[in-house]
Amino acid sequence: MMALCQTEAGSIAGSVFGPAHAPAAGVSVEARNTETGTDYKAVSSPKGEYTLAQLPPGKYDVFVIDAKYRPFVRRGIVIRQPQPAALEIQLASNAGMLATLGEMPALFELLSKRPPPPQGPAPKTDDGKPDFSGVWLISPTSAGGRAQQPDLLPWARAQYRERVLNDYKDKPSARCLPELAGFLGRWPIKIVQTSKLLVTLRSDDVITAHQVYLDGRSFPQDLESSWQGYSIGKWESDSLVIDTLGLNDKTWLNMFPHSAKLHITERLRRPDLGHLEVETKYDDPESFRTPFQTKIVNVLAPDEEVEEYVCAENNQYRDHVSTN
Amino acid sequence: MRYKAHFLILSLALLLSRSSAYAHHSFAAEFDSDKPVQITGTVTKVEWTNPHVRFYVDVKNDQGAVVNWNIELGPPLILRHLGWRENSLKTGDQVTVEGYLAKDHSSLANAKKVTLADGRSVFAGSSAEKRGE
Repeated sequence: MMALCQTEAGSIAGSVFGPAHAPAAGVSVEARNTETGTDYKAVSSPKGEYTLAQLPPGKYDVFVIDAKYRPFVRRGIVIRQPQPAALEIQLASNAGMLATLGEMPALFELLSKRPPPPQGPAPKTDDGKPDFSGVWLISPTSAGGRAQQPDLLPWARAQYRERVLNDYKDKPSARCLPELAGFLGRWPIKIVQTSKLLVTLRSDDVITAHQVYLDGRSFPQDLESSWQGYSIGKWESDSLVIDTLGLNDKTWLNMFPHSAKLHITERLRRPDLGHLEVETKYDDPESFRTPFQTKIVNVLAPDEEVEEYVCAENNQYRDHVSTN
Repeated sequence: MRYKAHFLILSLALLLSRSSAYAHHSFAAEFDSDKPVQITGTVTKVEWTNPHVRFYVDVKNDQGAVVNWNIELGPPLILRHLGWRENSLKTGDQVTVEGYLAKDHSSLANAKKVTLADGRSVFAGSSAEKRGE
């Protein structure tokens, strides 16, 4: 009898409200069984109602992680019997989220005020390949686009939720550790290209240069993991396809976790003089259910230049914020 | 120290989905957007450094004691694009700083606006108001 009771499923149900206590429709409500690590999900109805059903007895944390609202969490809801546990969810607007003066949104404003990039045909190298050389900045359209959301496996989803809930305080760059920025030219990024090698130079990361080998080599057999990985580029018609392997699992992919199995494939095209298109596929079967893709467009910025970035000179973050 | 109610409407809400990814660190990890703060005092030092430009301000508190505040700004690269230079703000300048208090530090703040005694704005993002070039 006891065993039967313990296997009966329960539920958590209630309504989701946005600012001014208006019902919030279409909001994902997640529950995590803290003992098994299993995730459950419900989406609020047009009236804001939700039911997390078929919950095995146990202790649950309930979350709403939605860019429109401040993150919501209620921890330790105990499901013991097949009676619904009631949980009303009141969400607060995220509009008050701020950024440091001179960071966001100042950067976006600067990007949007720039003159259009120079026009003309895409240049070629002496051996007839597309030449990506130049200083690039992300286009305002790409900067303003929503980041793609990977379909995260449970461990990765749990880690991502905790990152959101603790305000991304452990972001590696806050401790002057490298990022995984690829060809995202949020600050000027310079591409230097020869027939055997393409190098990116940047001023927004502690790793200022990254090499992409174009000399036909294969990945080393004993590839060790590193912050930026090992990158090999191959030509496919007018595109350069760059594969990167050998990444460690310490960088954040946008704000998402990833494993050392991450395989990044970047496809570069320069349709004309002023534009650089970068389609990126992230494949990591240990972190994402399916590979996910992003596309950004960078614009040529001949008036810009990369410069040094000595992050360790005056980083007081650890004095001010307790990190892991 | 004087707190003042402050409401900021950002038309760039969409952009915020990526903001934390672009910044050196997330604003909310260090500062409390529910704690706007305004201080007035004398600049004692300016650090034109990465990852943040900082300046320090001597401020008299309610008891008459002088407290040295640490004010955080963005990186030199972006501030320079906004029209400001290393010498835009100088030791001895009288300034009023509007910003947000740090979560666990009583005299650390993030500046939203810096105004000189003569009313000109420093680091306010408007090229019409720049000085020191």
